Amino acid sequence: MKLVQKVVHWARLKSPWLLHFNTGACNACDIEIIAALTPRFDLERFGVQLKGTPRHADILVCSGPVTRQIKDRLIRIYEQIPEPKFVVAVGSCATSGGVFHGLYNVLGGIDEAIPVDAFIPGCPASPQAIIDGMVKLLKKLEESE
Amino acid sequence: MSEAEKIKNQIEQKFVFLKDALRIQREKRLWLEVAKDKFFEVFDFIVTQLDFSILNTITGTDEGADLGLIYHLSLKNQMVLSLKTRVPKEKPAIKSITSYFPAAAAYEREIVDLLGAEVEGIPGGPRYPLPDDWPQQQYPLRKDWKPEMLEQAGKVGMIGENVQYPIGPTHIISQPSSFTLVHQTKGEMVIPVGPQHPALKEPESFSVALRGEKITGVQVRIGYNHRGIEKGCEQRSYIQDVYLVERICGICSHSHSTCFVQAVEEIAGLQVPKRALYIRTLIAELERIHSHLLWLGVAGHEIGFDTLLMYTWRDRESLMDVLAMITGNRVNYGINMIGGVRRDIDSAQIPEILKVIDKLEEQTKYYIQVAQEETTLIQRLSGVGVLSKANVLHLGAVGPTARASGVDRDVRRDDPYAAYGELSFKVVTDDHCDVYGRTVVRLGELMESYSLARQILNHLPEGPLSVRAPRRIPAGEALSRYEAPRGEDVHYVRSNGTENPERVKVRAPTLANVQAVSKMLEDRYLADLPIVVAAIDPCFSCTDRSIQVIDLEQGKSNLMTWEKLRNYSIEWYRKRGVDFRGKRTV
Repeated sequence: MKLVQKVVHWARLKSPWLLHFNTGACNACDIEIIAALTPRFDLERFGVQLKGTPRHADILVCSGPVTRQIKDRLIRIYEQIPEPKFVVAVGSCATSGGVFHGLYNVLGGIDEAIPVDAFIPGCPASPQAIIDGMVKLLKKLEESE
Repeated sequence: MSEAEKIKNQIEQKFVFLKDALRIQREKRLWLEVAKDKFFEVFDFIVTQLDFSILNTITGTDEGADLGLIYHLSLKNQMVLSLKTRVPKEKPAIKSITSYFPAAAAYEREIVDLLGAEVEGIPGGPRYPLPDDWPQQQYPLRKDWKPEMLEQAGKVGMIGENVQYPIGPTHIISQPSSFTLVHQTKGEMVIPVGPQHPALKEPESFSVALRGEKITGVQVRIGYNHRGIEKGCEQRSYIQDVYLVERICGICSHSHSTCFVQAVEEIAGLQVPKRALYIRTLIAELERIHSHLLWLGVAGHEIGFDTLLMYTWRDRESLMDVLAMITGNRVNYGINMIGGVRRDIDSAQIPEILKVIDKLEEQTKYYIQVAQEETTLIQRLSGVGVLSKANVLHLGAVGPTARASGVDRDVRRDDPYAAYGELSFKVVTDDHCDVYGRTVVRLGELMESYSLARQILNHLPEGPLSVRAPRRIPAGEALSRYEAPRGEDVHYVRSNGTENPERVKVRAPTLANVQAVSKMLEDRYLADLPIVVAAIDPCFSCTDRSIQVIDLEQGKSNLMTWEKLRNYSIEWYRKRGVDFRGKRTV
């Protein structure tokens, strides 16, 4: 590995920026994601920061089942994130459709629309679970290179 | 003679053909069915002469050969008269009631999209609630509709496909791209905010037309989170539905489940034990506390006062621990079941809860002091997002948004449910009519909620937790109301004697409030948009929204994120001397 690559790899692991996207969730997971970033849980200590635009993000954090109206917006946002990009599906709905499975406007989990790297189950996923999922994803990235 | 009987007499005197047509379910719930040709005559009399001047919602039902339309109207926010009429499915035409209630447009669009009614005279606007590329002649809430019919019709969920919609005289639908413009005149810019706001229970897209920095028009597109829960409720049993409606919203989860079980209990005629009602009320108030604290933080974030966000969310965590201790869950509590509650509070927990409430009360007093003394905060919030009392009444805003404009309405007091009839509290109102007023009302409500929680914990009645509910609920219908943290939540449930409900209709408070946002933004600056939208508390959070700015004169378009807009708004005020930097608030 070249030195430049090493630096980039190190930077990526130390400052994974998130884009949070609600794909039709009930809001519970979204609030828990925010809660994970506030003082009690403080996900930011891993260098994680919530960003406002897909073009700055490394990790797309999705919550909720994919509704028909949101699907092409989700794909559009996924395409705007620069490579390499990772997707985390937070909550039971994002994993499989959860309690909304089978409703007419719901397609199912996030993997119905875009590839997913990590699933964090729970209804809603607790902040502890979200931290655990993020750390596992970072571990995976560390080992992959 | 009771109030309900008086109303009945008045209607019968005026309309002879309505003799014995009015059904008094209980003192506060009246039901009346009128044939279509006489409907507007009766409707006009009830609204203008009998002063049923609040529209709770409109429910559409499938009645076989007909569509049923139920207009839920309330008198002084206390008594609800549900006025029903039928239109044949071959020609389901009905006149719009937007001349009486402008806010009815959203409810009428629901009937148009979901049931295929033809409502004449809804003002133009984007589609709601179905997706833009939903095929024609597919009405999901009709009984003969199956999801397979969607696949046969194709076209749904296709990416980038420009499908043209039937633009009839009754409903004007936006184009699939989110850049539908409101007033496309020269020199104006239109910025679409959205379509997706993460952490919203009802994500929405605002198309904001600008002249310079001034907002000249706003168009709201909602329905991105439309999942089809109402249809889902019909396909599942009552027991499953309690958990499904709980997940309509992850912040007001208890509100929706309580509202639903209340309606089912009313139909089944169940007498819920007192202890269960008190526990429900306790969870409701704790939910209100966590929701208002959450709002306070988000509002702080939107105006650049992030310290407040971190403080309130830190405090909120101690309450989340209490909720987890009582119910077993942090968010979707699952405490309700039909006929009572699932878990008891044991006496060892009570001092623990009281300790947390004392601490939170102390903190809230400090936030009230900040709101009263912190000049920057007052300057940022005063005079922003003004909604006059007349406009609240006209547009049908609910909850703290209405109470901040001096409209003294609260379902907890006006139409008591659960244990509220036995508890003492005051309804907090304010006459600032702006975002500052909404902050003052929510802070005041926090203090009331602490007092309510103490009253409940100190006088928790003994007794059983639930009564046995039948698996099959006898045929009937009920309307249930609930004061959620954001305003009045309405559920209509109709049963048909089977294990599954026939129809469940939900009207969440944000749908009533979001329509007032365009009024609040009129003639204000772009910089006010984040806090005004956040102030109706659509469970707003601090993450991204893409905003595209199109300059119509030059035809250029550039992309702005929500964060940029927020920073723009903070800078805009900073240049005018309103700044949180360099201040010590602690």
